[in-house]
Amino acid sequence: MLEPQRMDRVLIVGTKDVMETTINALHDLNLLHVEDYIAEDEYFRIGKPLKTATPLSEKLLKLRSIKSYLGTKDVIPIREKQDKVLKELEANLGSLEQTVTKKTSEKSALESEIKELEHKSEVLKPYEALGVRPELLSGYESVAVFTGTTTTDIEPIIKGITNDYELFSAPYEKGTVISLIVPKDVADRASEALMKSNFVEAEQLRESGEPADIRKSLETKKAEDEDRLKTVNSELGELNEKYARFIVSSEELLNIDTEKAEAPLRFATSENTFVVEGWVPRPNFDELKTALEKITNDSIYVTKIEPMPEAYKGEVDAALDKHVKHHEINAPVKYNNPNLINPIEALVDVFGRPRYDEVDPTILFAIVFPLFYGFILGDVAYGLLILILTLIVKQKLKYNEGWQLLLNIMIVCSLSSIFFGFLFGEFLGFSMAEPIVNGQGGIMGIVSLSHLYPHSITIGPIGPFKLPFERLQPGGFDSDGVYVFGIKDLLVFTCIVGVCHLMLGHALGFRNELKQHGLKTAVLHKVSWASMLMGGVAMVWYIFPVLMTHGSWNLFDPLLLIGAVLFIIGFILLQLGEGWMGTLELTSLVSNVFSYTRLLAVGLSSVGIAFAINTIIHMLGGAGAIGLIGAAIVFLIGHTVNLVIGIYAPFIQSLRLHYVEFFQKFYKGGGRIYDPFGYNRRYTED
Amino acid sequence: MVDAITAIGIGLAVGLAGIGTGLAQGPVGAGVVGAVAEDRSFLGMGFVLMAFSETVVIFGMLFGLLLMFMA
Repeated sequence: MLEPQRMDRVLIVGTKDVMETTINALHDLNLLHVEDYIAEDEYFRIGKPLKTATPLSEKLLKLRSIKSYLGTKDVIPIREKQDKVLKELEANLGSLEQTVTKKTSEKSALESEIKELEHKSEVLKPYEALGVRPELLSGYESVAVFTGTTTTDIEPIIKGITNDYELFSAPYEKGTVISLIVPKDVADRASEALMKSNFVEAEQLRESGEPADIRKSLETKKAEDEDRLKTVNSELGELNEKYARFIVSSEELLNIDTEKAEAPLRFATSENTFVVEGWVPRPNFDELKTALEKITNDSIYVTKIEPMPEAYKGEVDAALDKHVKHHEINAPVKYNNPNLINPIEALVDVFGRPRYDEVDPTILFAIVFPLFYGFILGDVAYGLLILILTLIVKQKLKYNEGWQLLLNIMIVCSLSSIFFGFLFGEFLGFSMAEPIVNGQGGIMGIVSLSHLYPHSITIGPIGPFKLPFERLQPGGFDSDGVYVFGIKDLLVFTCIVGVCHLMLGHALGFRNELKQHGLKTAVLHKVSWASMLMGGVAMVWYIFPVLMTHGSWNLFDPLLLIGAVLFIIGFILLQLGEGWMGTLELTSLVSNVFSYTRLLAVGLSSVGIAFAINTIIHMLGGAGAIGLIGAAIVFLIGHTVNLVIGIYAPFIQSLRLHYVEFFQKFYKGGGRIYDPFGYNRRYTED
Repeated sequence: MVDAITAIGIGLAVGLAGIGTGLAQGPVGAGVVGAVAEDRSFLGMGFVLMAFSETVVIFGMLFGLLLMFMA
């Protein structure tokens, strides 16, 4: 569980006459992660695709273009029989392609025509304002016509040039639209003068007739086109509805056949033989071997070979760092976890698939992540709301695998929030453990669960203390001498959680280094940090109370001495392992631990906001009817916003604690994803 | 619970640390979003890069809390 599925390196050798049979069998088994053959030599060349490859790719291309034109969605719950789909494919593909191409080209022609018409009716506007037929404003030999808009009065300017002119003008938008007619010989000067007075020439219109008539005909044409476009779109929609099953199922079949036909491109082939190398999960090796031998009547050779260890890309170069030895195996990585925690694998994959010989942290992630989430949010009502919302969305997005994974995680997280909500006694920011006194306290002064909370608990040496833990109080002994855990205690608690989480990270890091680079590297690189961390914690555990209470120092206190010794041993190991550069990283010891205080801090801000909303509601509630309405609005908006923040902030924060603080101690990620040669059919079956 | 000057101190500790983090995280965030848009597999690494500067504000908050309860 803590490491990925063990794999066997497999070599398959056969004669070319059984190559196609082998490909089909391998594809159906869906077990072998094929290593592409790239190093060609004298005898072995990269194989050539099967003869069927070209027609298959052509068909696939056609089908995909139809699919994109029709906008066919992938989420259709169907299972079609393969033979039926193949028959339909032969019969339908050609004609469907023709119909779709015809319809889509008509659609794009209509769309561009509508755009053109819209443009024309925009151009027509100034002519409408002038009330002049557009064809009268061009095509003269002895006079020049300028039609356009301007914001200045141009008549005096034109008078300065010539008295022989005709000017029509009308108000238009924020300025005027004008049509100026002058003799050709002063046209240049008139044009220059116009340009200086913000004149913008109107585009010429090819249409002729009264502007009102032109508009009418443009609008009729546009309405006709739009009607037709609507019809074409609905026809395309009908086609999509009718053929969606056919499209997705035949695409799947074609994908499968194309993959098979192109498989030899990944094999090494000589004149008469072929060789396939790859990886298969260890428990499945015998299944693969037996199946292949049976289907080819024992005319194929399947064997395990010993994989060669090699340094991962970007790893420390052994020549530069002498004590580093590489034992890494770069096999593809398949998770080996119980189904229950599969959703968490998606979160680990976001950071990077584990490497083959690295610890797979999924199970630890699955346990700790919801606990962190719950600790941060820690509110019964918010937890319940998230649970209900999640269940609703889960029902709505039944066929979306990605969302289903995320929502499964959210369900666990919301349950954890409800649990911590009880521990913190919080319900929508109200303290539900508080008894109701004079209509105050509890949840809105209506319900109180104070009788559920024990007033005095003793567990071993700890106690007596009481529940709930108070996130908004400093904490301390109450009047009965019972301890109330408050912010200070929770702050220390989050730091302890941090130290434990980090130590776990170092322990896993030790295991990884041991496996990949041997004991010496593991001690120098991991024990060093763990020792310094523990030493530091021991020293702080002694120093902090002394500082707080201004007590006297005892330099021979065993705790302080052990801490110092551990720290110094760790520091020496670090110098041996990472050199002086390691010293620069020392501050991360402090910042990593303190980073865990966000578990409290982010939660505090959420309770703080809820508390503020409730206080405002309380104040408004006492101010008559309008106040009550105001209170209701503040309640709804305030808690909705806080809930939205409450959903994602704890998620991001606990994710970050894992990715940054925890993973940095042991996890590199970047393993190759196990992708067996085969296909997970969704729409078809044999 | 706290006197005025401590309260101002707490405000400064959290506020200035927040500004510092903001100044640092802005450009890093823009870079990360760009990188993720190019290649989704950068998401995990992006998270880590974003987180480096975030530590500053946690320190601010921590000192704020220390001031609040221990001064």
